[in-house]
Amino acid sequence: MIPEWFVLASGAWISVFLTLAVFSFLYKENPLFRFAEHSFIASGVGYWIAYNVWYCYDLAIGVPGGESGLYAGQWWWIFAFVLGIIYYFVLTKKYFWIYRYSLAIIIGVGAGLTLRTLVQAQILTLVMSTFMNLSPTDAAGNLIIFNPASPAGASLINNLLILVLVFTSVIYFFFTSETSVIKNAGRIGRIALMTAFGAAYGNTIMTRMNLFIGRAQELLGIAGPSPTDQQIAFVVIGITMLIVLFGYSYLVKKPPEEAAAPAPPKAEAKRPRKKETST
Amino acid sequence: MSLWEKLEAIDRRVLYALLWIVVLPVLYYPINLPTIISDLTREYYNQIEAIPSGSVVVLAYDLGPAGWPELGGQCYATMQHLFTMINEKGIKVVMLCYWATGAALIPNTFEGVYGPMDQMGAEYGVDWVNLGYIAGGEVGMSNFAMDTWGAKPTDYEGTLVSTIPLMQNVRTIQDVYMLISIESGTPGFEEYNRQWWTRKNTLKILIGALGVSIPGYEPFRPQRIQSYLPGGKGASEYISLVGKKVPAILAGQMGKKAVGVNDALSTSHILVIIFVAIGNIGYFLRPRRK
Amino acid sequence: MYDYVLSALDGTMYSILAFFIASGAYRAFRARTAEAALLLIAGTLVMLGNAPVGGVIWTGFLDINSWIQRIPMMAGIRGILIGAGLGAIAMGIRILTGRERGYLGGGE
Repeated sequence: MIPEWFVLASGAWISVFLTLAVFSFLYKENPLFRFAEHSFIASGVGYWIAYNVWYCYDLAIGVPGGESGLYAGQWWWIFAFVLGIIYYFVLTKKYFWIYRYSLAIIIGVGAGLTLRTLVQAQILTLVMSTFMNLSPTDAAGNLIIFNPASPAGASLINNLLILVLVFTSVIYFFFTSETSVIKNAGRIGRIALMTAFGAAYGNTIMTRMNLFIGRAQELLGIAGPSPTDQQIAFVVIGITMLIVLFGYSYLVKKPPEEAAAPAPPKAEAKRPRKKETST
Repeated sequence: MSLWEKLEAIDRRVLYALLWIVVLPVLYYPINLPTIISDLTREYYNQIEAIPSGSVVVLAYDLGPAGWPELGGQCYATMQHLFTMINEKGIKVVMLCYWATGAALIPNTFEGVYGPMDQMGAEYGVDWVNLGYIAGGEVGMSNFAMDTWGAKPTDYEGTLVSTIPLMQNVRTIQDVYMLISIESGTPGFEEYNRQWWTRKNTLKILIGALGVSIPGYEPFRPQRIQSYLPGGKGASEYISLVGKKVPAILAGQMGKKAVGVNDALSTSHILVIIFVAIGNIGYFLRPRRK
Repeated sequence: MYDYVLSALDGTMYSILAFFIASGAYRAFRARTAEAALLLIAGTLVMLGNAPVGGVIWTGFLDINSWIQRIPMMAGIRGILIGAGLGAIAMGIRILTGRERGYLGGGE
């Protein structure tokens, strides 16, 4: 049995090393980053394969006494196995056409499932919720034109803006016309879209910074299973990596003579002359 | 070259170093900025508080390790809050995920890796169950809505779902009161909306959202989505709200992380605003070549 | 493997984008036109609302952030989603009627 302290400590060092290897890309593309990148792809793919194979086993083969799968007498799962194996023909050139049958079934089922409810779940929902009450009233029955205490709440200005901006955004996407009405409506729609993209940018900054802060907390030992090991690993591996990166960038620099000499002129490819055929 | 041209031509690695400089010290020596609870977070909290007794709640961990820094606090606090509701109101919680990478995060939240997790005396199989990963994406969601036992015959540990007491009363989506999906992409809310909500249009939906996904959820609020937690900021706010009920959560790693996140978010955002300002001032002030 | 390799790598791969966004904000985010200026102003106000310090400096930033996200941003994205939904219907019908065969891949 491996002692728990060893698992935590080695895990902390591996985790910090891989984190800093990915961050080393910020300095320059280097073999450490490539190693980390390949490890990421390999571990991710392996993990997803393992979980999906296990799920298929549970569902299609089942367990003794279960209610699903071949064990429960559901012989039709064999077709599912065959369809799944057919999918691997995508890797061959000669029998590539067989894989299209499996793919067509998957795409067809997906498209059918999506189309079944797309109108109700997405389009109708969004259109109906756009037409909001244009005479919202407070408890005393007075029309709320704009409520500074609840600036994003229901008010005449807000509800009207939503209606106009959604309408003009859809016009901007669907219509191109030289008539001034459509053109001006499209311009107003663009205002809503620019604001939307600006707000989306602000939210994206928050997400990315949060992700970086999370990793930084692990490096500093604020989060994670073994804080002391993480802190020591951060300092040791960080300094070692900086030395390695500076040394690597010095070694792969071009020697001064090659940098100063002009590159030889490229030989121009001669165009083959078309043979004149006699008629 | 003028000063502005020199600033524009600055090496990008200097900018990267500045970001490290404003984030790392603040994490280690927090400023302890006050947490202002937003109405979105408060509504999310209130919706969970208002779950009727005995109702079934599905908690979906549709995320991967990439989203964990922002969504981890939400996962942890939501799970803790649901366990207080199991204790107070006898609700039932079914945990599952449509992302394979979410399956390992569910038991991780229990194992104390991220801090003390009080399960409030809840009994596995009676009060809560972890079904684990369900493959198939939107097709898997459709299957689960029609037949939960058929979509996932065993739970995360391999126990037959037909033998679990809680699952005797959860056969289709009609038996579910609320869906709480903490998600970082597809499959996610849009697929749940198409496959679950259309089969049960009284289903309550709460979302634990990445900041970058907020624009995709706001159009559906409040008709489909009752509320959502806005990213890491929402996570910090929610942890402070749940911490009033379960003080242990504030003393654990997630509570300590939340304090640092607020401060580091503030300094990093201010830095980006300064970058934008310098870049634009330089753009307008630099001498133009004719 | 999951806790110490995949978690570390997956999280770091996405977090590295924070640096590129900061660098992009410095070098490329310019208010060259009125629309770009509107994008910049909306983005800055949302950033100030999202940052906890924004609420400490002035609580109005939180209200402005909330208003931008719930009114103009929501309206714009709603327009995009309606268009995307209609496009998805058209694409779905094309796939089911066999008019769309791009997903089948190349070759004969």
